Amino acid sequence: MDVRSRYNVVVTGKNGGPVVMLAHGFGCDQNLWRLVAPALAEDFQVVLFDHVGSGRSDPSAWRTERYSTLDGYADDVLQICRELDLQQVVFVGHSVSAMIGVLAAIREPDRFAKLVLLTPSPRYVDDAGYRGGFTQADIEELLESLDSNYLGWSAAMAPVIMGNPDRPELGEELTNSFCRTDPRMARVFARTTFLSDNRADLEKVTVPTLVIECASDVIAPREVGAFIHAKIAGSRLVTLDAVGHCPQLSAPEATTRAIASFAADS
Amino acid sequence: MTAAVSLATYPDDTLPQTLILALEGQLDYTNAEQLRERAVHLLADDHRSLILDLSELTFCDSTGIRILLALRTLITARGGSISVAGLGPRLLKIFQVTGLVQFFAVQPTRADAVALLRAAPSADQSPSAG
Amino acid sequence: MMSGIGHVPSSTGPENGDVTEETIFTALLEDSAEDLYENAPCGYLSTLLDGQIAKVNTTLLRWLGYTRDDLVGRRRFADLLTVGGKLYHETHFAPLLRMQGEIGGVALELRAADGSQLPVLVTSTVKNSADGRPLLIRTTIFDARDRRTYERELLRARQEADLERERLQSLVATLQRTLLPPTLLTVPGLETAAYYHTASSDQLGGDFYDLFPLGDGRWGVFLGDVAGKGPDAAAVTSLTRYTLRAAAAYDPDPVAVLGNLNAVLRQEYSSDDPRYCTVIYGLLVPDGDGFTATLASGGHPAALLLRADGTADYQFTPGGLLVGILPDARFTATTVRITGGDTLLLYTDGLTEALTDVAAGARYGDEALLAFAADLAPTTASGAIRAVTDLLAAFGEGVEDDTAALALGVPASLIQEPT
Repeated sequence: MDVRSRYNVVVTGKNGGPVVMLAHGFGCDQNLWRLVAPALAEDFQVVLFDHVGSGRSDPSAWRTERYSTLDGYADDVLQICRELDLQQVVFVGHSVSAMIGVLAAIREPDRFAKLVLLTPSPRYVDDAGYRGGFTQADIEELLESLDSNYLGWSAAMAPVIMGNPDRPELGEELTNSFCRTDPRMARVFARTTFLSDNRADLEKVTVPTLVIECASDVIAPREVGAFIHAKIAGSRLVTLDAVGHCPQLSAPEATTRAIASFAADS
Repeated sequence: MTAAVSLATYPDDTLPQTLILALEGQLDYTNAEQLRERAVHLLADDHRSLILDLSELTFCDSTGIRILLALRTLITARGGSISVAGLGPRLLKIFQVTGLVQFFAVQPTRADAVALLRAAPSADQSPSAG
Repeated sequence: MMSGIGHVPSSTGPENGDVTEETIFTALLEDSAEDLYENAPCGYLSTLLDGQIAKVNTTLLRWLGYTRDDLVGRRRFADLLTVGGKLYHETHFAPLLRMQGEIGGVALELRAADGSQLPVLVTSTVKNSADGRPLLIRTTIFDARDRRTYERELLRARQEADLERERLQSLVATLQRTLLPPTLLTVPGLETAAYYHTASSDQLGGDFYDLFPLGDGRWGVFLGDVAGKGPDAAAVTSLTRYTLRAAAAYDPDPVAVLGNLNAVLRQEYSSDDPRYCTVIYGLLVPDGDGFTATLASGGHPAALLLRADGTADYQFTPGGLLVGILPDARFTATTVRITGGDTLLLYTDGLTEALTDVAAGARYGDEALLAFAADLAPTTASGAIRAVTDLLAAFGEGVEDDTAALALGVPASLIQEPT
């Protein structure tokens, strides 16, 4: 199976424009970018994809061992870049994908023009002298939450009509594609996401970096944003007046503006 | 891995004491026991001959062979006979390598097996001993 | 509760007039939408788009032990969740709600004022303005204590089943290993290699092989396949393996060895539950620059000889019967010389019966194996086993049965350069 179908790669936007690669985080898929991608597509060539285990990626590509570290995911990002011959990539990683981008940019710095880390965190679990916001027990609780919602999964995925009341089949189709994850793979991804520690990697980033945080985000609190900003030399920090962990949904215009102005800046 | 085998009966009015079964599909360890039970169920007390038409049987593993031998034991124990018909090249090969050809009357087709029984009525229509 | 009044059956019979009257009467009792909201049998919560609580009903306040002032304008919906629930809310619930406009039946845990946890099922919808702009989020919350207890049971049962399966698989793997020699012994002047492919990790297969010394520099070798699968077949495999070794020590002649095995299988298993196996047994005698192998087969696929000159042939032993089928079964033997560069390959029919095209039901077959062997020759024992291993790997799911392969090769005395 080729790279495009394995990762459900979608390329849109301005042909020949600077490449902006949008990487979704844990819990969803490339649909998370739907309020941001169209605006970015006016000036950039936008590359969307689903991590293996999420969305419409190829489930047969799943290897528990490979995806038990963020390196496996970073490897995938580099593979997509190579296969599509993407150069001077502006990589936008949301949540855990921010660290996936950090790892990829350390391995192949020449491939990337810029990094945009959207609500990132290098470590979610508290540590001596570091507050990530969570304890190990909290993470176990999340895994339990995943398990119990796996049982109620079909109900959570109830068909809705996406503003197309005259085309219910479209609504159904879209619903089923939203954030579709295999529960077992989601468990592994959750562990990988929330138990990784990439604090030491931040200093190795040589690519110009923008950190975007939200004014209030339980998953990536402000002190974590400040930590990353301090560790990555020359990085910029933007704080959006938004609540929650997904500003690309709750504040799409501001998010788009922040990404676009940094990406276009030379 | 989900092999399927189906069983059909072809009653012949001229041979009331003969059970004629046609096996179709793939006979292996996943379905052999089920097939045996169904065949045993179809075998009536007064049946004295068993014809197995294997022309549509595309595969038979070692468990399948155990079942064929078990059916043979069952019919020969009551003094009856068993014949197999329509062996394809692959099945014939298995029968040859394992020496099973010595234990079954092998006929080219089901019609041949039936004709042979009709020609030797004693094998079918002999009144049961008791 | 209204059901006490609304559902009293009418003693005059089910006439429409009565039913309508009762319905109207009940509707009169339920005259306050406000009361219905406040004391509904579920929790109601309305929040701003950022989750800020704007309105909450009495039922939910009672469940959680909060006053209205504790929550309205002060807390967000996510603040009411356990930490794990918050993570789930931020990564799944909120994004899906944003994208879909609604989300239903999500299991979450609320934390009450006293710290206790309340398992709930949450459904949220986004209320839009006339021009389609999202305004606020409406949430209904159902007490799910019973349901969650049940689900926990289900989960526990699933986890236990997973564990059981793992235990079974490890048991099967251990048992399977006891049916095979841990490593093949070194035979002077002979290179040996073997491979066992397990088709199912939770089902014992019936294939077996062994190689052992008989004294005077002679060696016994066998490879076979017991009909059937599972523990019963494994017991036969074990019996067969020990019988073959014991019989060989008593009389190493291959025909006699198979005759002994046949007698033991007939003795051990009644005619109600007969057990069979196919086996190829060989006596290896060193003879200067190689070995003479005397092979007897009991219903087993013929061994392959891959010669130094690049040809390959089956070594047939005609007339060999399935072992265990007849009281006085006869077996016949054939003699093969293997010298420098020759390799003898024994295998079970899992290899030739492997599906090459699952959809079409096409299987590998003897001809294909012969062609494969001819391509391979000349080779070495390890080369042949490596090639068979790769072939089985290429078949993937197509290999339905366990497969054993054993190769014996006399190393080429001179390395022959291809011209």
